[in-house]
Amino acid sequence: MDARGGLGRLAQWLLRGLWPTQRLIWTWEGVCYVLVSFGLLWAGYSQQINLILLVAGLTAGPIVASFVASASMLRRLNVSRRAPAYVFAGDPLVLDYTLENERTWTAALALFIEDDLAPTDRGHAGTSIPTPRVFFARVGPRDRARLRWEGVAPRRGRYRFRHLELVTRAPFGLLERRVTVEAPAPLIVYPTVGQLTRRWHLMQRQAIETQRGQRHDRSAQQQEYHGLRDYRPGDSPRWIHWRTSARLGKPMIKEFEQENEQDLAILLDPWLPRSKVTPAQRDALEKAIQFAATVCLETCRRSGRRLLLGWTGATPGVCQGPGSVKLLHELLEQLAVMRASTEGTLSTLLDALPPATLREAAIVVVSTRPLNLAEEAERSARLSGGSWRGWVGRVILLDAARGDLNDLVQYAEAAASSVLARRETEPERSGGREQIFGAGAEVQANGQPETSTAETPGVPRP
Amino acid sequence: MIFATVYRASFYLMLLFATLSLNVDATDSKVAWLFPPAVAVVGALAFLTVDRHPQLGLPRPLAYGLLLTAFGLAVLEYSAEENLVLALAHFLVYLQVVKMLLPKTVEDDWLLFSLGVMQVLVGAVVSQSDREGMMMIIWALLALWMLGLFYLHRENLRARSLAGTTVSAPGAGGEPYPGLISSSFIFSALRVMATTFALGSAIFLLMPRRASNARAQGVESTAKHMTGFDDEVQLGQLGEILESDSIVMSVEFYNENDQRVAPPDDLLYWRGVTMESYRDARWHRTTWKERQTFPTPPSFNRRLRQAIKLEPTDSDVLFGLRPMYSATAVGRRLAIIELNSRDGTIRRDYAGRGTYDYVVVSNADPEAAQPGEQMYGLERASLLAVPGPIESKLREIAQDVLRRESVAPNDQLAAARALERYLRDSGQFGYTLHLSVVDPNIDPVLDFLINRKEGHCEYYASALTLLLRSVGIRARMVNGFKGGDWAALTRVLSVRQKHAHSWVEALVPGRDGEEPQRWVRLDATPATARARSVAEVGGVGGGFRQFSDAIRYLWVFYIVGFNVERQNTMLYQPIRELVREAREGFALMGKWLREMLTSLLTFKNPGQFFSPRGFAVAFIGLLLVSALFQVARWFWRRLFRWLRGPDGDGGALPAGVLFYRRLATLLGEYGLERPPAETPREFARRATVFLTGRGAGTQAVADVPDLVVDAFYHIRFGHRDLDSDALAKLERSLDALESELHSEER
Repeated sequence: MDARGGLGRLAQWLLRGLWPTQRLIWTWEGVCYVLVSFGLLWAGYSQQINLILLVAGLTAGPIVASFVASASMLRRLNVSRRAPAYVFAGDPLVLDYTLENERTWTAALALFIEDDLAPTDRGHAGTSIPTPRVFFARVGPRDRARLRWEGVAPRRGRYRFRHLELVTRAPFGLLERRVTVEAPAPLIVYPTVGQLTRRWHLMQRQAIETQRGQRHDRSAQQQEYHGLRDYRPGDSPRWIHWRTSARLGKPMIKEFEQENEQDLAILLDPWLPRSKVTPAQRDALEKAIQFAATVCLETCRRSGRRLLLGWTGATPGVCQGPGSVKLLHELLEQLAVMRASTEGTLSTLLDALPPATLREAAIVVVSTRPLNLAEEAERSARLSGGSWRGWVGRVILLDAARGDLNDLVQYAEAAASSVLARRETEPERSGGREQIFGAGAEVQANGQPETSTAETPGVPRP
Repeated sequence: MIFATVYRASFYLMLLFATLSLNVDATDSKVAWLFPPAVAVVGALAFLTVDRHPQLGLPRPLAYGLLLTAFGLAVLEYSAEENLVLALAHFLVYLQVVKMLLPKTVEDDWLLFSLGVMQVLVGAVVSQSDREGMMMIIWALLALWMLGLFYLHRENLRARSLAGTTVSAPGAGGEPYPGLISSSFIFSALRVMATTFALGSAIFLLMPRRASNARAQGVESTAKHMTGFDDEVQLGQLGEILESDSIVMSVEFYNENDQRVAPPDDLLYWRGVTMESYRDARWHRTTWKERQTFPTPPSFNRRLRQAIKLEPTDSDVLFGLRPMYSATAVGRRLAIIELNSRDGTIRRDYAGRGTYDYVVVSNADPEAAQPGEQMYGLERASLLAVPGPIESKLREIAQDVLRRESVAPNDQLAAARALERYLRDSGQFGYTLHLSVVDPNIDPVLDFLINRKEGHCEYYASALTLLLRSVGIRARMVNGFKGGDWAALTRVLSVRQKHAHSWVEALVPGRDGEEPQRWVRLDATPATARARSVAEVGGVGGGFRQFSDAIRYLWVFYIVGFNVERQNTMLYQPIRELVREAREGFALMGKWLREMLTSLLTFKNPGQFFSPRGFAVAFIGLLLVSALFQVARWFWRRLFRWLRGPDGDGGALPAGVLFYRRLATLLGEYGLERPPAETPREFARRATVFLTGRGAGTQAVADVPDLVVDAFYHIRFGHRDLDSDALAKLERSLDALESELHSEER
C-alpha cells in the first residue's frame, strides 16, 4: 500500500466526513413561509386562540415535512455523467447525464443535476467556466432517464469535473436539499484549431525548396517519387519532367512525397513581458498556440512524418515522435496547458533540440516577439561556426504579435473536433467496414438505419 | 396540459374553501353567503379564459377600477354592519376575485395563496364551530396538495430558464411532467400530506398553552337560545327542541382515580332547571333565588366526575348528574358556579357567547341527598299549588288511582310511585311529539289526562306534578336531559337537544334514621316510546353517528378546547411518567447487571475458579474476546481495503470501456460468462449466437455485443475516443438489450 496515498486518502476521508455531503438551503419562498408561520405561531400563542394555533401548526407542518420528504426524494437514485476526455476550446462541450431511479414505487420528480467543472491550474482564475445544469422532470420507478447538456467549452487548459450535485426542493419548494456525489473526471480543453490556408502551404513549400536547393543531392535521394501532374503557376521549373512534357506536349511536374514526409519542428516562443501585458499581447500568444495546434493537427493527419514541438521557457521543453494520434494528443495537451514565459530564449531551445532535427527538419518558429534568428542561432552552441547561416535560410519565422499568423489559419465554423474525428476515422473508413464511431456515426454495422429514441430528440445528426 | 389543468383547478378549489371557511359561520353578516358562490363562478370563468389565454385577462384599468369599487363595498359593509373584521376580510375576497381574473405569475400565485390563508385566519377568529373546523381541515388538505403542485409548477418554470443549454427538453407536447398523475403520485402525495398533517397536528398539540386563560377557548361565537330552560316555559314548548339533533353538551366521565370510564348503567338524568309554579298552562321558575357556593363535599367513595363542554347558549343554567358535590368552571379564572339551595339548580355567573367548560363531581349513587340544598321551608305553598279550576278533577283522578292501587293513606312514597305507574305503565297514555288540542276550554294538563291521553315528557311530568300536589304530596317539575349518545370510540357522551326531558321530584318522608324528608325522582314518561322517538330524530345511521361524534369530539375537546390542563394530562404527564419509569427501569437493570457481574467475577481464592461458575466465566470471556477480535478484523479489512483505494476502476474510465463492462455484467446475469482465455471479440460472437437463439425479441439486439466490443477495442487498444453521439447510440443499444432481456425474464 502506498503510505502517502493512504494518508492522503485518510485526510480526504476526514475532510469529507467533516464536510457534509448533504446540504440544506432555505429558498427565499421558504424563508418568507417560515416568517409567516412564526408570525402565526406568535399570534396564536400570545392570544391563546386555538384555531390560530391550529392554522399555525398546519402551516408549520410543511416546513418540518420538507426535511423528511426531501431526503426521501433523493433516496435510491443513481446519477452519472458521461463527459469527453478532451474538447477544443470554443467547441460545443457535450455532457450526458443519467438519472436512474431504483425505487420500486415512487417516481423521482423535478430534480436538478448541477455539475462542477473547475480548472486545475490557478492561471485560469477569472475565466468564464460553464456550469452544466440539467433538469429531470420525472423519472418513473425502476426507470432511468438521460439528458444531454450542451455548452461552449472554456478556454484551453486542464480542467476537472469534481462532483455532481443532485438538487431537490421537494415536496413544497421551501427547502433545497443538495446531495454531493463524488464523480471526478478530467477534461482537457485543447487550443482552438482551424485549417491551414493555401498561403501556409505555399510558404512551407518555398522553405522546402530553399532547403532542397542547398542539399539537393541528399534530398533527392530521400524523396520518393509519387507521380506526375500538370504544371501549376508557381511550380519550380526544376521539377518539370521534360521527357513526359515533350511526349504530352504540355509541362508536367514531378511529384514527390518529400513534401509530406519531411520532418517538421515547431518551435514556440510563448513570451510575454513580466509586467504590463496588453490584451493584444495575450491575444498574440493565444494565436501562436492555436497556430501551433493547427499545424500539429494537420501534420499528424498522415502518419510517418516526424513532428517535434519545442517551446522556450525557463526550462525549454521538447516533445517529438512520428505523427500519430497518440502524439497529437500529447502535443495538444502540452499546448493546452502551455503558460506564457517571461524568460528563456530561442537559442536555449535550439540547444535542447536533437541534432538531426536541426540538420534536416523543416523548422517553424512561432513567437510573440520580434526575434533575430541570426543572433539566436549564433548564441546556440549547436549551430556553431557558419552552419547557422544555412539553417536560418530554411526557417520559417512567424511573429504572432506582428500579425504574421493572420492569413495562415482559417478558423472554420465547424467544430475542431470534427477535424480530428476525420483524422481518426480515415483509416477505418478505408478499411471497408462501416463503423458507428466518429463523424459517420449514423449507420450500424448491419447497415440498418439507426432508430432514434425520444430521449435525445435534439441531438443533431451529422 | 394535464398538469396545468390539475394545478389551476386545485388552486381555485383551495381558494373556494378558504372563502367558505371565512363565511360559513359569519351569520352576523347579511352578505356573507354571497361570497363562496361568487368565488366559485369567478374561478370557473378564470379557468376557462385567462388561465388558458392570458390575453383574455382583465385590462389593468378595469382591474384598478374594480379594486376601487371593492374598497367602496367594504366601506359600505362596515358602515352598515359595523363589523370591521368581516368588512376587511370581505375586501380580501374582492381582491382575490380581481386577481383571479388577471394573468398570473408565480408571485401572483403566492399572493393568492396568502389571501386564502388570511381568509382562513379571519374565519378562525370569527367562529370556532365544527363546521368552521371542517372547512378549515378541507382547506388545509387542499392547501397541502396545492403547495405540492405549486412547487412542481415553479420548478418547471425554473427549468425553462435552462432550456437554452439542455438539449433534451423534458416532456412531449408541452406537458411538463408526462405521466405525473398516476396512482403512485397520488399515493406519494397522500403520504406526504399525511406526514405533514401529522407533524402540523403534533406542533399544534405541543405548543405551550398558558394556564387559565379564557381565550384558550377560542373566540366566542354567537350563543343560541334553547327553549325549555327559561324562567317561564309554556307547556308543550319543550317539543320544539325534541325534534332537533343539535348537540347541547359533550361529556367525559372519570372515576375516583381520574380514569376515563363509561357512563354508569343507570339512566342519566342531566338535571337542569326546576319549575315550581304552574299557572295558565305555563311553568315558572321560582322567583326567590338563594344562591350559595357548593359546601365542602362529604367523604364518599363512588365519585363520578363529569368534564362537560356546553355549547354556546344564552341560558345561565348548567347541567349535571344529581347529587352534585361540586361544580367548577375550567379555563375561566373568575367564573363562579353556584347552587340554588332552594331548588337544586346550578347556574353560572356568565352566560352568553362561547362554549363553556365545567367539571361536575357527583356521587354515583343517585339516591343520595344533594349537599347544600336547604330542606327547611319546603312546606311552602308553591310546592303544593294547583290551579283552582282543575284541582278537584285532578284530585278525583289521583284518588281513584290510589284507591285502585290500594295505597295506604299515609304512604306518600307509595302514592307517588302509584301515580307514576298510572301514567307510565297503565297503557292508557301514549307518547307523541305531534300535539293536538281536543278541548281548548280546559287546561292542557287536564285535556291530556282526560281527552287526548298522549303527549311528550313535559305533559307527563306536568300531569304527575299536579296529580301529586292534588293529593298533598309536594312536587316540582325538572327540565333537563335524559341519556345521550355514547361513542365507545372516543368515550364521550354527546347530549343533544332531542334528549331534552322533563321529570318530577317529589318530597317524601326520609328513610329510617335519615333526614326527615327527601326528594325522590319520578319519571312518568313511557321509556320505550320515548327512546323510539329519540332514535327517530336525526335519521343517520349508528355507524356514521359514531364517526361524526368522534370527529366532533376531537374538534371540541382537542382542538377548540385544548387547554393547558388537557395538554398536561394528555402529553406532558405521560411523557414525564415514561421518562421516570424508563429511568427507574434502567437503574434497576444496571443494578442487577452490577450485582450479577460482581457475583460472577468475585473469586475468593484461585481454587474457586475451577468450578462450573469459573468455567462459565472463562467460556463467556473467551467468547467475547473472540467476537471482539472478529469485529476488529472485519473493521481493519474494511479500513485497509478502503485506504488502498479502488482497483483502478475509477469513474474516469472511458465510456467505451464502461459499456463493455456493463455488457459483460448484463450477459453474466444470464449465464453468459467470458472465460479468461476468450478474447472480447470471441465473447461478442458467442453472445450474438446466444441472443439470436433466445427468440425474436433478443434477435433484434443480437448485434449489440459486437458494437460494444468494437467500441471497446477502438478505445482500449486504439487509444481513440468516441464522440458523444456514438456513445449515446451505444448506450441506447445497451438499454435496448437490457430491456429485452428483462422483458423476456418477466
